[in-house]
Amino acid sequence: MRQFDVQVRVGLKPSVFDPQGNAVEKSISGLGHTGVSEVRIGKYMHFYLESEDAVAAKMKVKELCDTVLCNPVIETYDFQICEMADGSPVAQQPDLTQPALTQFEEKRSEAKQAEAKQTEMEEQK
Amino acid sequence: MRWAVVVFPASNCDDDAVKGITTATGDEAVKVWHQETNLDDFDAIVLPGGFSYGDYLRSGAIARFSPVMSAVRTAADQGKLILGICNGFQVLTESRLLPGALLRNSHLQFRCEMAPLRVMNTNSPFTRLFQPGDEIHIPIAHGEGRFFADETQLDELRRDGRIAFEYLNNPNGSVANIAGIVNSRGNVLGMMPHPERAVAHWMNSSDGEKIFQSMHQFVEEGVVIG
Repeated sequence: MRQFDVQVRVGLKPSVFDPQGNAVEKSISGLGHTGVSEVRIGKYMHFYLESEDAVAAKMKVKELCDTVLCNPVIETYDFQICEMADGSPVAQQPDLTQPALTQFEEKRSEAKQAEAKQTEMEEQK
Repeated sequence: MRWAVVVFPASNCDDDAVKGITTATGDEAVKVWHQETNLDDFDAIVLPGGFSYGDYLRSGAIARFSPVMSAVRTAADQGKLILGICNGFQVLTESRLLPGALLRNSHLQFRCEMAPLRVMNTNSPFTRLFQPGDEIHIPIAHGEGRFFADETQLDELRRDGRIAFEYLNNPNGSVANIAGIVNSRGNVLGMMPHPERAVAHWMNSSDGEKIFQSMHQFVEEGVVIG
């Protein structure tokens, strides 16, 4: 048997009002942040799955989503399956914010450097 | 007649339901643990309010897979009366014994208050002692009672007269003010308000009695729902 790492995201259908998302959106704009819209709160689930192959694993996850993890009357889902190397639990819960944050930090430091350079040039003048 | 009141882990209105049924009808009502797989001895089954399985995943989502639920489904198929109150309603929608779903209240508040309702259908085994259009008062106590159904399901519910009760002052954002519905066969009712909390003058309403008495009368008359 092969071991798979499974991540499932479940969210309310677009047609279903999400009062939690709405409350969070209001509090974000209350803090003075602009340009944030359509906030939706969903669920994230993570588990390991033993399966013969990737196709069977996908079928099983779909079955679990359709019967237990998601209520198709109000929710939709998507999932990611990764085979685990040598059966050891290598997969950690991914920090989904990390790449975006790193990029943001990089851009901010680039902007800071450019600003410093400009100030320096102006001072030299 | 004999009533079963199903007890899931974290049901908390089971005793109230037993008391409400016996007060209103004088019948015997027995609490049945959710591991039970046979409900043949009972004429009516009540799924009470509470927070079965801590409302984990979704309200009613895990209770749906309890062993007793296959017996409830069998009883429903046999035409026996099934009444789901509050969390029991959520379990019935999760089990697809009733259409739609119950979501977090639109204002996110937990509402515990007396709810004025309109009786919309008096042809069901659960509402036959009411008059059409009766205004009744039955308390609600829930944080996740916003009934949702898509347009097709709503049209069906309206067309077939399957909306049993509507809120007069919608307390949770339910679509079409729906407080309770029955299945297409008419022998399964789900409602968010708690009829077992309205069975005495000192409770500020005894309107809930008529629901249990309607069911009692229906069963005692031996009507078979086909």
